[in-house]
Amino acid sequence: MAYLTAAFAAIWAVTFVFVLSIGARQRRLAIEVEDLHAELDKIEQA
Amino acid sequence: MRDALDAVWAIVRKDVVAELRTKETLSTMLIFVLLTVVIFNFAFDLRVDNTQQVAPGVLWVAFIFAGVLGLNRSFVLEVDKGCLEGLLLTPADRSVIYFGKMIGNVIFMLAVEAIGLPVFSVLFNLMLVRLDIILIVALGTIGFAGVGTLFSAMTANTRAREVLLPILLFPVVLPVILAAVKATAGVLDGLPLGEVANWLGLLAAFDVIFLAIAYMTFDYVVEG
Amino acid sequence: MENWGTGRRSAILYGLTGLGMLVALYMALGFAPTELTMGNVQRIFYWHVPSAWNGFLAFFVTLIGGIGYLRTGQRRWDVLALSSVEVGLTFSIITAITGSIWAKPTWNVWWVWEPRLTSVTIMLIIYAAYLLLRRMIDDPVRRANFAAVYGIAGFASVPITFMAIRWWRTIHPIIFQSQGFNLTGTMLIVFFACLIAFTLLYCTLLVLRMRLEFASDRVAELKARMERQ
Repeated sequence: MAYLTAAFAAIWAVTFVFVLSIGARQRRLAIEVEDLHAELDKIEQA
Repeated sequence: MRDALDAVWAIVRKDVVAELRTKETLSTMLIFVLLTVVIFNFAFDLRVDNTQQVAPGVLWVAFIFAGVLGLNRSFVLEVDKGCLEGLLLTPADRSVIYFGKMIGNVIFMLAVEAIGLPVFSVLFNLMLVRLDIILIVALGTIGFAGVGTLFSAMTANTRAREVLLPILLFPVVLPVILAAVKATAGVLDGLPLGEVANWLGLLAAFDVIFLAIAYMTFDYVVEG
Repeated sequence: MENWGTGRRSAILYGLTGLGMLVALYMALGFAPTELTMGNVQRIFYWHVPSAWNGFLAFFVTLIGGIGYLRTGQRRWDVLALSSVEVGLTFSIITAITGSIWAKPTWNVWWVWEPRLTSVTIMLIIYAAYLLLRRMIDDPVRRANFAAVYGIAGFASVPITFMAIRWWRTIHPIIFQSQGFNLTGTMLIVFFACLIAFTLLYCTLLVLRMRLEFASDRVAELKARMERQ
């Protein structure tokens, strides 16, 4: 029974790690976009 | 067709002649082969009674490690010295470069194996210089060099190129190693060639399939 | 590729996947009958095999993506190939872990060097090497080309490796044989339900990953335009 739980937990854990890694990379991209927009604003004001 | 064959031969000759001048790569390959056997001797405590069990494995590990050294050289020198661009400027089909390089690599590996087999025969107290083993070695070398030439053309253009080649190559070439080791072991155990036919068949099939894949994809690998 | 993965169709996919996984969970744990010889541990099989099949499917999709890229030169084929490798790796890791967890109570060992397990491990290594190769190349066109070629070679070698190892030894239970399935009624239904659920999961993960990659492309493009200003 413990084995069953372990297997089940492993599947969800691995899947979530993958999804979270995508999420983290997405957030990093979003930050980059913000920085780019900020620079764009600076250039437009100059 | 005639031109293509001439072009292939020209590339092979160029590589062989260049190598014969310095014998750099051949000597490092040879020393590496010997080194591998010596290390295995201590790692596995190779004594007279069990050499027959481990000999096929040790033999092939030694050959493929030396093989990688040779493969690395085949394109790294070209890229470093700008020769690749020169080759690409010729009006020949790209696959000519592939076959020329591959045959060159096979020749170098066979040269090292030709010396390695008798030496191992002595070190292992087993008669390894026999027609059936030579056949297995030839088929295995063709498969290994076939894929290896394709991959080394790729890795020569990347960072950490020497390290990347074995990482890419070994998992893909595993069936060759497996079949070659099993066939060699079978033959050393006294089985007639017919018994190890399925391993030989696998080697031959692998060779054909991967030479075909390399022929079809080599253009994309030298383009960039 | 601006709003890839965010539209109505994607929402339906995500919803179906969530539902499917819950159904798969219920069916495997509750609905499926308890196996006679192995007991509850056998239920791992309902997730282990679909993961394995989807891992393999993912690498087949990478093959298609690679070929597509080599023929057309269009970035989306490369994105497909790359995303599928990452998802495939995820499923292969799940396969190896669940297989190992199942092996311990069944054969009393955590690992066995038999054909399928070994082949999956090698497949895993090949695709990890694929990602490593990509990381080592800076030029995007060259990266896509080389990755495509490696993906083709890698995929071609896996069945040959499997056959070779199989000729060597085997103790992995052979559930699906050429005559038919070794499973009976209810178990078969549960298995297929889980298979569908996991395939939906594969599609969802693939779409999510591809969306990330397209977004990353957009950002790189914006950056390049900015530098030129």
